[in-house]
Amino acid sequence: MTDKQIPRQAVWWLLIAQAAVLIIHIGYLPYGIWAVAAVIFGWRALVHYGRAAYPSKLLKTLAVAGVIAVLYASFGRQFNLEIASSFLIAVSLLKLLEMRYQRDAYVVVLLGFFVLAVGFLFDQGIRTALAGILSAWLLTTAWIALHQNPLGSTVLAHRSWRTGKYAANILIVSMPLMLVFYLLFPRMAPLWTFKLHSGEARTGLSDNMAPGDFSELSQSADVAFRVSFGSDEPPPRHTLYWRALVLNLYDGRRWTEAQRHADNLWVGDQGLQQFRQGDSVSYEIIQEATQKRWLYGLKYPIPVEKGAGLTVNGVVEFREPVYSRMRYRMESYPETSWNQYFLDNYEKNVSLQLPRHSNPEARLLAQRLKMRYPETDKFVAAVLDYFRQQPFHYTLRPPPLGENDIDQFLLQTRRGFCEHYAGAFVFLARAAGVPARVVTGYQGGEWNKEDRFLTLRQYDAHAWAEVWEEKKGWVRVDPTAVVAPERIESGLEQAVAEEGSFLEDSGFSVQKYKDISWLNKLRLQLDSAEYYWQRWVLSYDQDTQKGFLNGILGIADYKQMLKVLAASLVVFFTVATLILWLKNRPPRRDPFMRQWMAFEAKARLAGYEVEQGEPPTQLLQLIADKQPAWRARLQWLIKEINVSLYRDDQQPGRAVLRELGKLRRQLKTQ
Amino acid sequence: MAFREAIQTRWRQWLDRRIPPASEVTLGHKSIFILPTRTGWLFAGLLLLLLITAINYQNSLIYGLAFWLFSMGLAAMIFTFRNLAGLVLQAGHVNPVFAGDVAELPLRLSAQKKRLHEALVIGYPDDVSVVADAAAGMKNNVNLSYRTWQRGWLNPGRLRLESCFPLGLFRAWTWVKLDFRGLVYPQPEYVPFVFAAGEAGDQIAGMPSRESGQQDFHGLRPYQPGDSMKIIAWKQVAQGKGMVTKEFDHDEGASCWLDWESLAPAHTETRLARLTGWVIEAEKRHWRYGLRLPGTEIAPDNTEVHRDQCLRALALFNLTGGEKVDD
Repeated sequence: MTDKQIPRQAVWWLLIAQAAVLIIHIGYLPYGIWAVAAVIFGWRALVHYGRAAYPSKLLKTLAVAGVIAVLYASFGRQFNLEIASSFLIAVSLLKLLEMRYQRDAYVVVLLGFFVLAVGFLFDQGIRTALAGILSAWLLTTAWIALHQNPLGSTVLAHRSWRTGKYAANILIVSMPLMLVFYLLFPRMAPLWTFKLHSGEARTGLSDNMAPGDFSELSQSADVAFRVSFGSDEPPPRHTLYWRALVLNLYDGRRWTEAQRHADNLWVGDQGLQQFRQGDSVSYEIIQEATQKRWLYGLKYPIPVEKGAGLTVNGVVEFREPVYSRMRYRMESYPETSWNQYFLDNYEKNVSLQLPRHSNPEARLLAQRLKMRYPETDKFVAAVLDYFRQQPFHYTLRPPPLGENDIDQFLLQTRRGFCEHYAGAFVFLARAAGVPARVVTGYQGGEWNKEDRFLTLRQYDAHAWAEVWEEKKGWVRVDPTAVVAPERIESGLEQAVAEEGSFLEDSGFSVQKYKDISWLNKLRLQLDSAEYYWQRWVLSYDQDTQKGFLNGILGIADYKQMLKVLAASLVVFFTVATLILWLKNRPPRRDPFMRQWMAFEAKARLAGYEVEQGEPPTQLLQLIADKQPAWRARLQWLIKEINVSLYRDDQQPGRAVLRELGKLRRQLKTQ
Repeated sequence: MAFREAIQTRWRQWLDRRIPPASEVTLGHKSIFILPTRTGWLFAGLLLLLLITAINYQNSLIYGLAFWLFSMGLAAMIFTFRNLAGLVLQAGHVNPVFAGDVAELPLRLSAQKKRLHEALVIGYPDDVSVVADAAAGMKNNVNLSYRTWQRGWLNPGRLRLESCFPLGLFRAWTWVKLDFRGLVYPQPEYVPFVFAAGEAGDQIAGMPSRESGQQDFHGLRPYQPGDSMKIIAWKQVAQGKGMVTKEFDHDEGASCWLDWESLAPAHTETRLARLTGWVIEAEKRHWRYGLRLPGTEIAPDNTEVHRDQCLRALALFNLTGGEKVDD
């Protein structure tokens, strides 16, 4: 293959398409790469205008070294998806710079599509998808422009726009087949596990808790997960405690989790059955990536999704960290008797563990209350009364605490967020000899009435407590609900309305303008769109596919699926061929022309032929010379045809056609 | 070798049946061939890579992208085919050329209503190709180059029209045999005139001397191919003034016969080449010249029509009338 030049009009399309692909990676791409991109775009544009030369070999080597230096400076020695993708982008940018011939441009376009696909590994939201469609369109346009007449034909005005339209045309035409393949192509489990995952730190719960963590998290309006219930109405709001983690170890400052994965009951284990007692609530959760293993569930959750397991603490874990958005089903059995799951010695010791010698005043308070109320439930009520009666404040701006933080909080500052209350409560309970632990997760959520789903955002993050009561098991106690009942009943925004601290550090956010009704409505609608997108498009996996195909199309197994795929290919080509054939049929000639061409063909076989450019009647004259018997008929024909041919308004009549036909049949082939 | 030739012959016969020669050809299902290009295979590789990524990361959008590109690849086949389908090729009139020169073959491309045919690469296998577009309602004339090599009626064989538009994944092409009507004169060879002596009518009053360059010096003119070495002004050439030829008095009105027999015993094609050279030379010198070939005699004259008549007689000598020389 010879080195074909790139048509000039294609270069701009290539640059624009490449820029569009970069925008999808905007979330994590380091500034250094943007700088590299700016230099390369500028340089390539100058080359296009003949103002700069292509980079020399030395410069190219330097550029590669420079890019590696930039990547090292931005990421250090870690290896994750971000650095791999940044490197890929840098390579495609360098290729763009040195792109000179058509085959270079092919590499740029194909790399562009791959970079686009890599962008989807970071986010699959509806906005990313739309940006992806735009990029795909631009890449296709550049791709087409690459094959256009490099001389920039004068025949075609408004070339660029036409190219864009052509690309859109191809994309739209291929859409039906794409959908068929999307739905029917057998989804399978990963062929092998990639260790390459995003290393981006996401805002969200962490696996430990210290005072101040949750008030920080509450500044984020990012979605944590969405839930839909089997019923049209969600359970009452004050029961919506979404459990993620149980923290039962305390080191005097920080609460952490004592891990006992070995005792997990995984989906498929017989042991899970014993908890399915009484009525159940089933729900479906679409969880954002957390890079952590926990899943969310209401109290007494039973996982139903393969790969999920129930821990001894009554929360659900996944077998591996959740690296991308995940959809799973859950059940909860509020009436189950977890008593069978009795508190073993280990568990009891852990749930009473406290560091020695800290917070003496709190210990004293706890012991005093326990003396007066020896029963656990009375004791709990007394502690809650204490929170209720003393001037405690629920605030997003808690003052910093020093050593003996619980003493300080309980007796001096008395201003805190959920983690302060939960932590202090568990401390008091343990100090009084009541097994207790901290539970973190989310509480409440925003119910979308129209589309009936619940959205939980980071500011719904919550921490509460659980105490062990004989015969009842672990009982939830939420001291925050006592101090700020509106937090539980209406959410954080209402609870801190007076303080005005809701999302105060997060800059612009539509969440802040819920009282502007049209804006709120728009926000809810966009939210619904995102939800449906996630539910139906992104979560289309092996199981969903099976259900969909079986339920709607009645396709039961892979064999049938493949048959339908093959059939759809056949249909695609048949329809396309049919359309092509219909569109390409030569325009029907008028009856005289058809008759004449047939006559001419026969005459040629009979040995009569006229030179190009001679009038058609010359042929008749030629025959007349050879066949005197037909002379009169032919003379008449010549006259008739001449009259009609040289007068625009008249077609030769039926008699002429008939005569021509008769003559044709009488001509003898040699 | 014989095997290859046999295959080529079969191929040619098959093509002749499938796309018969004509002065106007409309491209359709019968005449268009299509196969994936190397880029097409590269693209298939990308699709596989995308599919594996989608499976291993369980990523719906990458699945979507992979299937979309796959469908686009299939659609590209149809679009590439469509880019040629319906295109009409018409042969135009070809001006005569001398064998060995490049003939310009005017080709008219016409598109049907609302149709557009882009980036068509058209050319004869061994000659330079041109790139052209064709849109409905526009004049799209392109000139093809064809290097002639044999006298007689022009017979350029099949031309190749191909296009990878729009995505370069598939190449659609066709081999079309268009009847370009045109004459190829023998390649002129310039040798000094030889006139048969002694025969009556050979030499008429004002006969030029037998050898050129012996007349009175008249002036200088730029060199023209075919000028004898003897009449080149070497002094001027040496001074760096370029190739200049000395011109001598014209022998206007002189009359002569250019005779086939005077070139005996040379080979037929050699004789024709030399006679062609003579015709051109005599025309240039404004002689009245006649041409005698076995079976043909053209009376002396000096007009363009006369020259064309002589050259045509030379071109078609010994070829059955109107028939083409097979290549």
